[in-house]
Amino acid sequence: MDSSPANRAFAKQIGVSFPLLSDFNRTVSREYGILNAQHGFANRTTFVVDKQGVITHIDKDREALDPTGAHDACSLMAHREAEKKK
Amino acid sequence: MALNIGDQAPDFELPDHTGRQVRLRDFLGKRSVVLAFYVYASTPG
Repeated sequence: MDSSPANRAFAKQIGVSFPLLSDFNRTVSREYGILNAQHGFANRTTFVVDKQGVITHIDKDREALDPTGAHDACSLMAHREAEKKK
Repeated sequence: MALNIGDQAPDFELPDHTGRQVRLRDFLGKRSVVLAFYVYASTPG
């Protein structure tokens, strides 16, 4: 739940090429059903969303530390899209 | 309510690290999106 200025410093530190978003008010964490109400932060979770806005993959808690599942889900989507174009 | 695979991802609008507002709907029809929620930068949990 870093603020935008904290994210700016972190982005500079690690050199990100994607947006680091700040859900400072926890509204999106709540809407996505991952807000830990007891501690007031989002449980670590990765969602993969396709071009139609449909969730195709979810990693929760410790499994979300490893990006392999999300990476594979993205690769699968790219493969299916390439197949459609053939 | 917990979201599941096959659900429509709720739209949102949040500021990024440059202060720009980012909306999920801006990516619809263009790119797939990976949303990685974490607590604080450089935390292990």
